[in-house]
Amino acid sequence: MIKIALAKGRVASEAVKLFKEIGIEFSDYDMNRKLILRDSSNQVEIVLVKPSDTPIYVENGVCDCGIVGKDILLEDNPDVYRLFPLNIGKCKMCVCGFKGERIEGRKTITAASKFTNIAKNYFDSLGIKSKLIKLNGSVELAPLLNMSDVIVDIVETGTTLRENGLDVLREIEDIYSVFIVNKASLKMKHSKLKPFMNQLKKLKLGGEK
Amino acid sequence: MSGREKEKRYGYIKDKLNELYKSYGFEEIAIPMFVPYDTYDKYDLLSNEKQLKVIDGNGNVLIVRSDATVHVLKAVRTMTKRKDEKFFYNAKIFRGNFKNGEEDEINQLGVECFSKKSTIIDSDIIALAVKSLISLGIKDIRLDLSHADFVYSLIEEIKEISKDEVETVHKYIEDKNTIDLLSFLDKKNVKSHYRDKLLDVCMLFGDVEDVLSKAKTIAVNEKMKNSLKRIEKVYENLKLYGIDKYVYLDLGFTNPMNYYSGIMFKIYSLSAGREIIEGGRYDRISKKFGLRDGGIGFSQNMDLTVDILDSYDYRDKTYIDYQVFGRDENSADIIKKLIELRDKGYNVSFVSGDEEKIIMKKEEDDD
Repeated sequence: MIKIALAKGRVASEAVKLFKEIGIEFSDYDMNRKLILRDSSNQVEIVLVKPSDTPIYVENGVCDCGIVGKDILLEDNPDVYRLFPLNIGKCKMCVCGFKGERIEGRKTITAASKFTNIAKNYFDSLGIKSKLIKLNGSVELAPLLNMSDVIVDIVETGTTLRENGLDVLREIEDIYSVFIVNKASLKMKHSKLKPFMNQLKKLKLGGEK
Repeated sequence: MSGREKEKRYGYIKDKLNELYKSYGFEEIAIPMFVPYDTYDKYDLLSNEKQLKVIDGNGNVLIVRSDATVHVLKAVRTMTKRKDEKFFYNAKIFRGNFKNGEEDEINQLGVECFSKKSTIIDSDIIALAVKSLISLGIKDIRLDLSHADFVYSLIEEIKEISKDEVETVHKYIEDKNTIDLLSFLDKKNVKSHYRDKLLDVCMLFGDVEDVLSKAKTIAVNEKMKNSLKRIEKVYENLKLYGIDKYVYLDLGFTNPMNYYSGIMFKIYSLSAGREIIEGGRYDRISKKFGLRDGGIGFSQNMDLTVDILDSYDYRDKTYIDYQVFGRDENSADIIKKLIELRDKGYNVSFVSGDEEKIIMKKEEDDD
């Protein structure tokens, strides 16, 4: 039995679709509020978790693998294998703020973000001393209320930004979902995981056309 | 599991492993808690965020042991060198980053053997590591073997990767993160000939014969070729110990600060979800700091060991076999009884009380 940690919501829905394409079906997905579901052939079990917790279940070995956004891997740097990207949840990590807000040439910057480590590393690489404010959501509010100069956040369509009068100032990195595996599981359950991973990898390539 | 229960199990496992280490010729060594910061710096052993520091009365910065080996070397360096130097220790190690309530104190048991390179010693140490899990009944294990030179001398040969960037490349390889490794190497304009080899190294793990034959096609220099020969030789030896069924290769292991210089190994347990034993040969640092010809050792994470024994439905051997209750007025009878039971090999505890009775603890605890 392979146990997979999946972020509740979009990632899980997309992943369940991918699994269906390779013949692994979860007929009762989205039918009830169960957090642990088994496929019809009893080969795979999915565990629905909070997105930012996904790597924690994998790192501790209670799940063999998981699908998680690269943003969370960059922010928390968990001790897991990051094997291949999946065609789910594509977006960008960006610095956003009011149009015309300068970044070059600054000595200091105040940034609000859910991803304070990513933000700090980015500004460090530019040689800008950053003051970071950790927020857990609705990050756009910070510049609007003049609490920060900019925000660092993932941007998909940019609608929320524009509706609040903000713009993308810099793109930091492409974000996509990554298939992660527990270090002991990859080795000790390799014969079970390998065919499963190979099928997923093929899908990913097919979907990228 | 209660703290007390954990301590009992820890004590039991420690005793059992210490006996095992002795049967392989190891003697116990007490190791210092502190080593001056300057010493760590001088021998390139600093990995700052992990190390807890304290300041002594004179303002010197000391590092609290975060890795036992360096502290064993400090103890050994002042001792007269002998031909056969094998030590084991029971120690707590401390971590300096108190992130998310992670364990900041880890109980560790380990062995260190100081001698010049020998494939027999390498194999004997690895056999001991495997035995120390098997003897506790932990059988869902897998040993991954590697050699420090394989990845290191490949990276060394790539001129586009500067000294400062070696750690970054190591980290990508360690995480088997081929996506970011590829984009990093392309950014650095690393020739495809080398790039493809590094990418292959990430996934170079599994069955020994398979991996060795693939690795031979990747080995571009003498150092890499020699490291494979050494792995082969050690594997041949492990067959003689009858433990080759646990042995696999993973040539994508990395080696922070180039600490290891030869054979490296990790033993994973599926129920632990991670490695439980880690070890290898560290000749460079044992020569420079320990003033020895070479060294090899391993450490076992005791906290994880205690945890997974639990999932094996392990039952602690009762420490007390009998409790003898009685009053001081009947001392002659009671002492006679205590001696009699202890002579039979039982662990006996006297408890002062009004009623006179003898309780066999084993049955009481077996719930």
